[in-house]
Amino acid sequence: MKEKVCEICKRVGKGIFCEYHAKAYYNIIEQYKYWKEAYEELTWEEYLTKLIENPENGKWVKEVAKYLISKKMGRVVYDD
Amino acid sequence: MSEKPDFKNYTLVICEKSDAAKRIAEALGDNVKTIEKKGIKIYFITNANKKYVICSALGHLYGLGNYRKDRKVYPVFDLMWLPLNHIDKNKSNVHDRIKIIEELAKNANEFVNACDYDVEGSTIGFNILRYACKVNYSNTLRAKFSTLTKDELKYAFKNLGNQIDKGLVKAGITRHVVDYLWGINLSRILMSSLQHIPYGGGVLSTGRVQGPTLKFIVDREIEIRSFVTKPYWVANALVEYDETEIYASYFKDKIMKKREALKIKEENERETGIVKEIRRIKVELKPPTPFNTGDLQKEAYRIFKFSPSLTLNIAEQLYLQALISYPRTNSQKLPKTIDYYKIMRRLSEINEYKEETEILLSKKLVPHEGEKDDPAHPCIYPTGEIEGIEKLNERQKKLFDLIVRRFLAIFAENAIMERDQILIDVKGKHYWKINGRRYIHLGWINFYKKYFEAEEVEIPLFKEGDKVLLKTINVEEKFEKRPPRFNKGSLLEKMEEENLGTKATRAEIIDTLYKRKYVVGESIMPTELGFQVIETLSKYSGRIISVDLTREMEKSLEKIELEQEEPEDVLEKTFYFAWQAINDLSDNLEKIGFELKNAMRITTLENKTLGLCPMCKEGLLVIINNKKTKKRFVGCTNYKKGCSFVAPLPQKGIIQNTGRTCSTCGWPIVQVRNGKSLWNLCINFKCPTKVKNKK
Repeated sequence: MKEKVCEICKRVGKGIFCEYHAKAYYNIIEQYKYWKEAYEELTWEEYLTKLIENPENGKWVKEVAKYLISKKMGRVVYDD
Repeated sequence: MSEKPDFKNYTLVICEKSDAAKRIAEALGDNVKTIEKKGIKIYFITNANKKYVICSALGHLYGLGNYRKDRKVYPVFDLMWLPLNHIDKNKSNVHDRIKIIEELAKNANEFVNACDYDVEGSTIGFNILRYACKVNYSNTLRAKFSTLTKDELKYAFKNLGNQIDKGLVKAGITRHVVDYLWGINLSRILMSSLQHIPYGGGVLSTGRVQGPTLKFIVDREIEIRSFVTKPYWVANALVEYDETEIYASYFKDKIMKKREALKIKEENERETGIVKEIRRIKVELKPPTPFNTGDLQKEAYRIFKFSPSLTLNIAEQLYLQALISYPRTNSQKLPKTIDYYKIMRRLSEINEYKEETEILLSKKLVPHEGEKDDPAHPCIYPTGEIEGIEKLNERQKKLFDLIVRRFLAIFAENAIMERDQILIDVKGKHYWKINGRRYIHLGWINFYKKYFEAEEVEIPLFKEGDKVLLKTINVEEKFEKRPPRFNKGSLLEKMEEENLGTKATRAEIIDTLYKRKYVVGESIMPTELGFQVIETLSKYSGRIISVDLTREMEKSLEKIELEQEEPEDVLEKTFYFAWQAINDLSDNLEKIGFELKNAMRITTLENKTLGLCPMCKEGLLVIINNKKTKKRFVGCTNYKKGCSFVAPLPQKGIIQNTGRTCSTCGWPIVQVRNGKSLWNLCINFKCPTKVKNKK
């Protein structure tokens, strides 16, 4: 696969994110179902906003969440 | 000092350190003559049967090296043992010491290695005997002791053994060769990669244990930075019973849905519950086990925040004063030969321990020992020597007290704790629990209470069928905690668990990670450089940082120590892996250089950027070195827009960014290290705390 530069940190990666931000991205997706079950009504944007505000979340998670909000990404796929 | 006596045909005793030499001299005879040559003390002893000459090394006098002058050359496989002054310019004092030992060896007819009885001590003595004394090790004797008390030293010299530490010597030599080959070749490649790029340069290193240890820190940081928390709720009830109020918690520790949590509040508030069940469990808490090196380092970090290397350093000082036994040990067992009563009686002469020791002395002393053992040394225990105790400095006093109190605790009875759990039923649908805890017998805690908090939770005396009122229900939203960063204590524990390094080297390896700027902070965080070193090594030669490989090597080295394996197998493996890693890395030098240099720049910048300017609130505060005056200070990046922020900095020592701000004035705090002194400094010289101190 052709090497690309991470949209967030400019580190070399294989997709739009580097290895580290990609890991954070997968965790964000993975945990969305728990958050939705916990709050019942929680949109993808609300979820991302909560991730940014919560101090327990990792630095890369917050960076990816900010990026996704700014690019309005993920909503169609993950907000079922 | 008297003149050198006319001595011949004596036993030459080689010690590891000067303090040990003095203690051994005092133990071997009353008629001790001391001469000092070039600052090195030599002890001449004559007793009824024998003549001894005792001299000391300075730790290692010989190290591995090669005679190639170009330090950039790799691979290096032609290694040899050389006097340390040939390898390190700062070790010029080694030359005189070797010359003196060579001179003393000429008139000796018997040789004793009396260095610390462990891998390093045996290696130190072995090299001195074969190179400086020019004797065959098989014709020399070995003294084995774990404390520097007169009794034990006398016993050790009455029972000298021949080649009893053969395994230790082999393991020591092999460990040095393996670590040298691994460390020098890989570190030289990393350094050389920096030379391949414009404006390259800098200090980088990795090693057989250093690489995998850094990887633990980096892996943990990746976990932390990519961590997504999960919400949950907890419910607590304020319960009224018999005119007292007490808190009860819902039987489910975590409620995973918000709606469910709110329903619990709705269905329980102002309701009456019935005490359905009372459970009482007695728990016996065994005394702690005696300290080995790792346990002492972890406990000293937990209680005093002493770094592992500092603890080992202080313990070594206490050992050299004969106050405690040898502090580099894996053992959690006391030696069978020591007289516990005698040690207790001596300790009872110290006021602080009088009461506790008298209680213990009235009973049969049976220690509670741990599982771990060490063929070379027992656990760390106080020897019962108390001479010079009043001269200990604060840190030494603290560590000594910890070791003594632990020693006392291991002879005490089990502590007995009673746990009560009261189960409250609300309408047969909801259950609440009230937990109580009290100690009915403190046992060993009485002897260790300074360092162990026996927390109790008092609850009323409930009876089954009693009614209680759930006055208010509090529902709290919580989030799962992210994994904690390692601190020096927990990292040491991890290294121990994974069998990385030895009790003697682990603390030093952690310090090296800080020196190389791979990690920062008390709560250990990798820098960009630390991240990049692991990323680069993983990419180009993953074996270098493989925990499995290092662990396997450690096991082999332990087997050599026990004479269950020969060094050749380990050395062959080392050559093979080192050669492969060298090839892997050499093919990508330029790429490695660029990646690492970039990370070094970012790390330097991170360290120099102290945070937002408190004056203009826009610019960043950075440490600036004035090229003309060579002085450093803190300035604001917004100075061109008119921000006049300037703060002075100490001109000596190394300054590190702590990432913290002063709780009083909000300005950044930096850490200053000058020689052995280390302190945190608020950069605001008008900070109210400083003004207050000046007054």
